[in-house]
Amino acid sequence: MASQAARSEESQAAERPLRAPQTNVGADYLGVLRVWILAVLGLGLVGTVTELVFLEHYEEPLQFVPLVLIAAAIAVLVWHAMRRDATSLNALVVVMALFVLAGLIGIAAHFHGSAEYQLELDPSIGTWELIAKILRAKAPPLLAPGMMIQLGLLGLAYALSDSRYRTRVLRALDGLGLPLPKE
Amino acid sequence: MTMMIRSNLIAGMLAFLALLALPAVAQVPGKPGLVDPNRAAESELAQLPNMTPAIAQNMVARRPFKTPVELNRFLLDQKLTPDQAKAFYGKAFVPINLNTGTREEFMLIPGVGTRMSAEFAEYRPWKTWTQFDREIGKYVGQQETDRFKQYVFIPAN
Repeated sequence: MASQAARSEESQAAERPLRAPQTNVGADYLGVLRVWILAVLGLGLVGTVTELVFLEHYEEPLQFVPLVLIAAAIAVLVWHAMRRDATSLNALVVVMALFVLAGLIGIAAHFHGSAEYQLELDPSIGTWELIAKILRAKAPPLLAPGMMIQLGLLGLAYALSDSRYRTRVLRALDGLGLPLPKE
Repeated sequence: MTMMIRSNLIAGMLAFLALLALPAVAQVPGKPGLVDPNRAAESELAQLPNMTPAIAQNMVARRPFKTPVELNRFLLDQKLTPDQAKAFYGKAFVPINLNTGTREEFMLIPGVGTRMSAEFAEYRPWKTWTQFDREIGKYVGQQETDRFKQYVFIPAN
């Protein structure tokens, strides 16, 4: 009798789907990852602003944009580290989105600046030759403002992975037809 | 003894000449190649782009040209168009002091506009050609930098 009961329990156990133990490992891992992203973002901001100051990237009004944005980002990060509230998180999203925008505008501005030198040399230069020369020129470095895009995306990755943004992010992914993360 | 005195005298004279030559060497353009309108023979000038024997003769009579602006004014007075004058500057030019040259002077160099003339002024004082290569080369490459060096000079002091 006892052996029959044991066998029945074994067969029931075999039929049950395997499940991971209910722990909070995923959330902990995400937390560590977010802190790591925040640290990389902080290092990137400090490194970039240091380089820009040494390069005297403040000769024209447009050149102030990355300096002002980085100062704003550092201020918002300090605020967010102190308060950890939704308002500071929203502010971080706004500043980081501006980073991405500034990076795109920066690439366009560097392209335009470099094109001016090349067109002074040869006003009749062809489009492809102009692009090739701009890509090869050491100054202004065409893709350097991409650093702002990279930092902005890092900041957005940090902010949008917060649970407070979860519903909005899922809705946005769904709206874009992108695959949703599995539960 | 006389031989020794004579050789010392010769060595001293050579050293003196070398000292005299030093500032001159330091002031020649970074890369020779252009005709100097202040020194070239009339026959040589007459063979340059858009030159006529009459203009070459007038040029010899009018020189020295202290700046390229003076030269430019002269050429325009001789009824050359700005484009014709530019073509002439492709072969002959009055070198510009990189540390004191004006924007108006720099802009007479073929291929130099407001952007590049601003760079020439921004990196003053120019001390070496290595510095020129580094700062200007990053914008337009070494080939164009070498070409610009024909039009300018770095003063000794």
